[in-house]
Amino acid sequence: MYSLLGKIDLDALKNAGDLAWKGMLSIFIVMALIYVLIIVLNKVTNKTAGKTISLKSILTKFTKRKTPKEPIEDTEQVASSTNNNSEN
Amino acid sequence: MDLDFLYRSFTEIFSGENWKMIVMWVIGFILIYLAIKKQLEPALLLPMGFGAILINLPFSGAIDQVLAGVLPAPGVIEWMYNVGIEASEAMPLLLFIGIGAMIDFGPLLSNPKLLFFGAAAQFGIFATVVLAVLCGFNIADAASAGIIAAADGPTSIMVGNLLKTQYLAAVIVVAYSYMALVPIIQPFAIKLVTTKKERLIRMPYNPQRVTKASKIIFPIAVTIIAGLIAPASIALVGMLMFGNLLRECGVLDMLSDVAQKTLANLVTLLLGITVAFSMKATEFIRIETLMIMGFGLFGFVMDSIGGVLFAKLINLFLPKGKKINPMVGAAGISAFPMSSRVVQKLGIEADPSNHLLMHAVSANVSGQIGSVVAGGVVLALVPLMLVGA
Repeated sequence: MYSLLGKIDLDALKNAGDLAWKGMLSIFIVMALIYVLIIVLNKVTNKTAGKTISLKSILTKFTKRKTPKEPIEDTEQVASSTNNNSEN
Repeated sequence: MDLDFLYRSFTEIFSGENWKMIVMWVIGFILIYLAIKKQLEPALLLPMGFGAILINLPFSGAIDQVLAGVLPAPGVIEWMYNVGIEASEAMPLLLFIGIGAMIDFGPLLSNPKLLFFGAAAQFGIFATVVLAVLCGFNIADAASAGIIAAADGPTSIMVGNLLKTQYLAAVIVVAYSYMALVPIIQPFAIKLVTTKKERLIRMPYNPQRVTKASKIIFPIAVTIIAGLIAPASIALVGMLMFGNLLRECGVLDMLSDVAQKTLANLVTLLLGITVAFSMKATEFIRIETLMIMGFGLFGFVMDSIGGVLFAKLINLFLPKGKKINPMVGAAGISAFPMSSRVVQKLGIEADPSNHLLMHAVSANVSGQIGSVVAGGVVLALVPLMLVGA
């Protein structure tokens, strides 16, 4: 067989065919592994993130319970406390 | 008084095959014109064009000379080439740190099924290798020509140089030129293998939430996976992922910024003028250079077709309403963000309310991983074939 540059090396052609299928297969394998990695990463990290948020919310609730709001008795007390705060 | 040296270069240029140097000046001017007037990859084509003129002057001091036949005079461009490309591949690899720092893998992590288009769209590489061998190239030169279709300049430089191709200059020039021509080549290729109905397919965008931890672990894990399967790709993948880790870690914003801007610009500047060393007239002006231009075009077209046909294949198994717009497959090449923009533009052209950009970006980003893995796979397989031969 001849080409533009002379005789075609049949061994080179066979190698090119080998390179083509092995190359494509290898890239797909790497991509498949990366795909699995992303799925696992997304699941694990999203789960962890969810737990962190719920823990935070529990802690916030707990803190709120520990400091219950005291009923304000009269408006004069409110006014004086506001004044004190603003001075500070 | 002997004043021969004043006109020695003028007489030299017309002797023997030195007329080819003048052709290289013209090529240099064309590259500079394309960079300035057409704004095709100006950061690279302009230094390359100027470098092509610089090294193709008789007795150019930019490359190694022997003065008066006795005193060796090292040339700076040859030195940069030997140190930065031939000896260590440092320049393309350093550029990868910058590129990695620029990439946001978020769209890919939130929509991972499009990752496989980054593999399918590498089809052009291998189709081109077969074509080049059919045209009489040996396997190393054919693989170097094929890697142009990775649409990834640094990978092309690295693969071509490690495989010791005699067409390195042509490979580099063609790789960068065609990357700039993606907006022209891809629409043609995509329309060739899609119908109007297929281009109208809508894809709902429901991205998953991506945590910071995912973004940090991803580059490290990909480096390990790619390194274990294709160790030859580890320098490429590793530098890319290192740059990305700088970006995502959140504690090295300054370094990430330097990698994205200063490092990437500096290396690009030096890389352009350094690769010009391989554009010596005697090595560049030959019929094979024109053939490599043809291979590059073929490779880019086959990349796009490979991606589109893979999407069509997947669509055979997907239920109605969940089908993939086949054009997104063509965005699986490494040319970022040109390829995503092409797909978005074609989507809007078919239906002004059909926005495919985010899907295309996911495929495009996966193409950046795919191209470096492809480079590594070529580097792993071709030397074995050369040893076998």
